[in-house]
Amino acid sequence: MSDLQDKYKLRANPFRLTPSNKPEDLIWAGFAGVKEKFEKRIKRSVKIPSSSLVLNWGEYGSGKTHAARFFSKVDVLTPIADPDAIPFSLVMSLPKGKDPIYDMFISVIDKLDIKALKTKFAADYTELESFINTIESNIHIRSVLKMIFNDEEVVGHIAVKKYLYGNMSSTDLKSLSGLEILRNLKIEKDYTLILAGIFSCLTFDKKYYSCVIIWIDEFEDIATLNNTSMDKTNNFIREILDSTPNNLLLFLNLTQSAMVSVEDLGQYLYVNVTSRIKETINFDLPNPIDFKDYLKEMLSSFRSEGVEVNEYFPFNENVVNALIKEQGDVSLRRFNESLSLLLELAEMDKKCPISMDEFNSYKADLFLSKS
Amino acid sequence: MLNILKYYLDASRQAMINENKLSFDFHNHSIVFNYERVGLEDLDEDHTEHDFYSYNGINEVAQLELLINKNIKFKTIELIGSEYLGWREDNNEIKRSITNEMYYFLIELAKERGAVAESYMTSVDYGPGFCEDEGTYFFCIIIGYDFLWDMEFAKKVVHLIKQISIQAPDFYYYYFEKNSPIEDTKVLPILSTNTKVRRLGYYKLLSSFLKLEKKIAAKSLNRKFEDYCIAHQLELENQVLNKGVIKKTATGISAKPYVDLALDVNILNKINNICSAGKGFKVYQVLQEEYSNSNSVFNLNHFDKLFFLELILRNDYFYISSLLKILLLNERITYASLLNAYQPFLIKQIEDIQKSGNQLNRKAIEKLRLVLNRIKNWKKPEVYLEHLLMPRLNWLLELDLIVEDGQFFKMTKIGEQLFKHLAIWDDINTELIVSPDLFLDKFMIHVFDDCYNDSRGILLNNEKELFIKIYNYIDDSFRFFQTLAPNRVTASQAGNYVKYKLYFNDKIKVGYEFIFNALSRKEQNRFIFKYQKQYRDGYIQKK
Repeated sequence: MSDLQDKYKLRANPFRLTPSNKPEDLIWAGFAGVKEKFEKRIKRSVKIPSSSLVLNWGEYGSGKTHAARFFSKVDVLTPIADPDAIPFSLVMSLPKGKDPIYDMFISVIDKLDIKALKTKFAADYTELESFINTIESNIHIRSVLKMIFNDEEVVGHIAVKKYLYGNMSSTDLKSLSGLEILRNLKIEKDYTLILAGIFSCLTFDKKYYSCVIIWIDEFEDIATLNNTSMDKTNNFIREILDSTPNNLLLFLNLTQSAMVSVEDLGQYLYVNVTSRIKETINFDLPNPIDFKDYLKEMLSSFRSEGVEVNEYFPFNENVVNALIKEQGDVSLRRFNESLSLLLELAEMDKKCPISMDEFNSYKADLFLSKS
Repeated sequence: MLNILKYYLDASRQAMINENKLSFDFHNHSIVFNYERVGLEDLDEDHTEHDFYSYNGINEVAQLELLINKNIKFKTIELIGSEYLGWREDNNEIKRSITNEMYYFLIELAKERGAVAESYMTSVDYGPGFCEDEGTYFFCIIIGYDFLWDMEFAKKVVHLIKQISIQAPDFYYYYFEKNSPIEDTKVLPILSTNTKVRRLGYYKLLSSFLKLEKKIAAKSLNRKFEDYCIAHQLELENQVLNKGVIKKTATGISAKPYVDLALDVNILNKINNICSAGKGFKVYQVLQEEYSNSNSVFNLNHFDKLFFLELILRNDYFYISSLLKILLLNERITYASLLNAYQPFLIKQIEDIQKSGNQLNRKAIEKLRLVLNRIKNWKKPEVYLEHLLMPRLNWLLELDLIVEDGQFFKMTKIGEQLFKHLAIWDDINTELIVSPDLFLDKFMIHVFDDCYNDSRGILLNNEKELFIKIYNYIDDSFRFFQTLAPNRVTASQAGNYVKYKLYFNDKIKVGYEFIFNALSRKEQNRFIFKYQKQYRDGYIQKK
């Protein structure tokens, strides 16, 4: 590590093969066009009320998961939206079990800090209550939504979570009868309606959250689901959009895989879902200029502070050109893989900067995994 | 006896004795007499064991006399044709087709004398094993004892050997010279069929039907397709080949066998009980109006024949190629004789594949075993085989590969020509082809052109011009095969579209695989092409 800092002037290896979980390492480099599309889409959802469905297409390793994590960061969302009402954003993978709707519901509830919500909405609770009455006709669902946002003293946040998870004992459930909550959540429609209700409440008046952004990653796995789960997933997408007419931005990440009998994943999405798509954002395979811009920005973000070196340091520019030319049309992940390996091999041999001699001698290793 | 051996000796290049075999060598072919010695005690003292055992040349009649005077008993004759695989790479060598030679002898010899062969096979002999040998690929026909001392037969054999000349067409030379097999997964492709599915024309109707319906619930598809077909019922009744009609029924049972088969061959695709055209069939749909003849549903034109022939070969190679073999070996054959011949023939075919395949993977072995057991267990083959043979015979009739002459079925020139190609595929790999996918990807257009168009299609040598045409048609395909993902077409759809366009618009013969090779060229800068081997497909994007 010390070599990396001393010789290569980098605080860490910038070329991660999978997106980082550490927020500070999660940076956006290059690909200004794609970034701008996401920013515009989020800005639009922050400003205008209507909900939208956006498909993100790209090759494996083209940066879809990275984009989801990057645009869920508070410090990224803050400048895009109103700092007092940044979007409520969460990323989940497409559930592959037999209860996809329940699984998605749990993914959201897991990430919901009910105690904080109760405090946040306390001042506006009366208005929120009448808002709930207008958006939801189902009395049971209305009561549950009110319980979530109502004062901690009415029903404590632990009890609320227990109820939502379906873990509440029948005795405890009886204690909720005064709130007109007389049964557990059971049917799938309950979960969708509660989620839709929570999303609507969170963005009520766009006061605390300007919109809700949900990213469903690995959506291509829909092709592997059985008929029932495929049905449920499609219906969930349609219903959640219908039941949350405002302030919901739903991103679906799809990998452009070939399929045996159908031409693309579009065949697994029902017409009632595809007809609701507002936009598709494409993660094209990068061209040489994209790669070079990306690399420059990546290196500069990871470079130790106050160091003046050329923009591709520790790589010589001709090495970068040769690498790009040699590898052809590949994904960003493959590019990262090569750079990471190149850096590691050079570090082991204590070669710096990395010149064509190193590149040529490591070439066989670099393209070993390329099939 | 001696006069026959003398005849062979005079006609041949050389003769020798080795390991109880007396063989006459005719350059690429040989006639081998197998004998056994009745007792060791009778060996002539003047001649050691060695003289009659190992590589002993025979140059004169006296030596033959000496041999037959020993206490030996001749058993069979083998007619062998061989090709040394070490010479395949030599581009000056003419590429013979061992399998076609074998069938040529079988057919010609049977013409006057009925079935002369006890058995026949092709294989590779790698020599004794102590020295490196590229191997000799050969066919061997074992002739029955009745013909052993038949002068007319001997003359006929020698005559055929001297005049035989079967060459593989030029476009195969590259693969012969490569001298390495084309990948064959060995997973047996077969289809289950119902006797009703006899008219390929109904799939032309299915194409236009799915153009209108796009997505249709599986449970109502059969009935709706029946409704759609009703208008053509009378048209079918007026055809010569008029069986397999789809009628209106309350449950859709009349269309069901056609729909089931469509699902099996993936021209119909079912996701979550919703049916739509399969990805390959969408290419047919796009080009149907331009290249097919929709006025006459039950007459297939070249475009239809090309599409359906490829579909059948890809999905049903085992049953179809076996049927073609029986038809070829019999100048004419009745349905009843076919019924008798088919089951044992299929069993032998599978057993041959099992024997020859030393590189079979578990999936392939399992499928072969499963199919073999199933075929062996046909309790009433005559009932079951109707479902198997009737559709296939009708498809072959519609594709002009056979004709019906009274109660007989006969192979046509087109059928013989097609068979010749399938035999060459076996020769390229020096073993029986089980799954022909990669052969079809390379040669389908060339084969079709040779069979149906007397090889009049163009092989464009100007690669630059050809690449530009390919790229332009790929560009074109984006208009028809746009998917939900932006700027993307599925590679197989674009590839097939280009293949048909080049052939029917420009008369240029290009393999489907060649189109992908053209896309993979480093100099190609118009498209991004990604291929995933496990799906045998990929996608193309414009740069």
